[in-house]
Amino acid sequence: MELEGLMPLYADEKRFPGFVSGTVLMPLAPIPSTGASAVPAVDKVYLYPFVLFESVLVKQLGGRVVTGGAASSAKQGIWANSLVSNRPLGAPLIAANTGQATTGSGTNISEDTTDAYLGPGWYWAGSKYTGTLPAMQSIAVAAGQFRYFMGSANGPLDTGLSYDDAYANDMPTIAEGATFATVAASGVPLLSFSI
Amino acid sequence: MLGFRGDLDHPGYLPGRVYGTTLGTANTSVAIALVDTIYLYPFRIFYPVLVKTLIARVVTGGANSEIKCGVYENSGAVNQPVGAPVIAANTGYATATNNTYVTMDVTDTVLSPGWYWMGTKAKATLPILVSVATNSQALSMMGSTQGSTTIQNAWSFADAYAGNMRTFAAGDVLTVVGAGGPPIIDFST
Repeated sequence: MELEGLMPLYADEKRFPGFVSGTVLMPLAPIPSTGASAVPAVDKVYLYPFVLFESVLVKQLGGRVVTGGAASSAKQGIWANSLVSNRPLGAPLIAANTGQATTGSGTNISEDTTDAYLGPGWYWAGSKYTGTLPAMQSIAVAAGQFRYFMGSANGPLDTGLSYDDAYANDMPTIAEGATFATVAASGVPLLSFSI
Repeated sequence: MLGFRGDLDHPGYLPGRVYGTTLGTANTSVAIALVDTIYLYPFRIFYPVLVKTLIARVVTGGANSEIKCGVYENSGAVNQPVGAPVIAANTGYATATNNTYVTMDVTDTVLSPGWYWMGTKAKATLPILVSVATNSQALSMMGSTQGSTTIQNAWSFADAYAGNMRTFAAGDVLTVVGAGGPPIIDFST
């Protein structure tokens, strides 16, 4: 029986310890992650779902470069979840469209974004790349989160979705019914956000 | 979304999709340990959902091998599987071919929100299926016995392959599985 509706404050404390301003978080953490696999391809947005248990003011998007790639860079974004399809929907709610160099191994990247509140609910984090593809801190290969929460197709273990989009563009607006591919055999890069 | 906080536990099930029953990282390199043994791990259903098939993934097939599967309700008294399977794939499905997906047709069944157990048994040369991680500690939330290991990935219970998926009775003594191998079974809606 769901008691949360009667005791939202208490329930949220059990579920999530709360956001602390000035910190950097990786959505949906703790999540099994890896730094071993390079981003598979350029010009694709790699997307994974995450949930926020309370409202939070996001100030920056970022990530972790494990092994840099020559002349590579990343753009990042956060999208709403479609209640119709449980897939990313609409214009990005937060976008880092300038692009951040991902050439330095063992470095963190971050880009200031327009301060934006995200309310409780499900979202999608996405990133796309250009240049010699780097290895980013990514969802572990064979992690079950994507299929567990959002559902997939019958097929190999997958860690998220990809959506074709040229790197040169700003992060895309995604229509309901858009075509996605599932990402198997590699991890989807994890985003961090600063609050 | 604020009106129904349960949404934050899971975004809901949509028809025509395949849903996983485990979080964390699956194992793809450990064979099922024993024939004639049901391996069981707990999973949670968040909303009423119509289940149409159960799906296993074969990494490395085993000659003449097959599996049967069942979904069991959780006993609130002991947090172990109880009763007859609420969904059963008793036909036996071949797991002999590498890198294949085994779709088991089952009687369409609505699962209500709650905790369940996924059980699988196998025969012949035991295959490597996508399975619960070796150190998943899947039983830690349900409670178990200490056993011979501190790793508690699943329960097992002897059950001859030839029979249908068994009915669990109160007082059945299950065995803690410390090694890897309990197969992960997805479901389609």
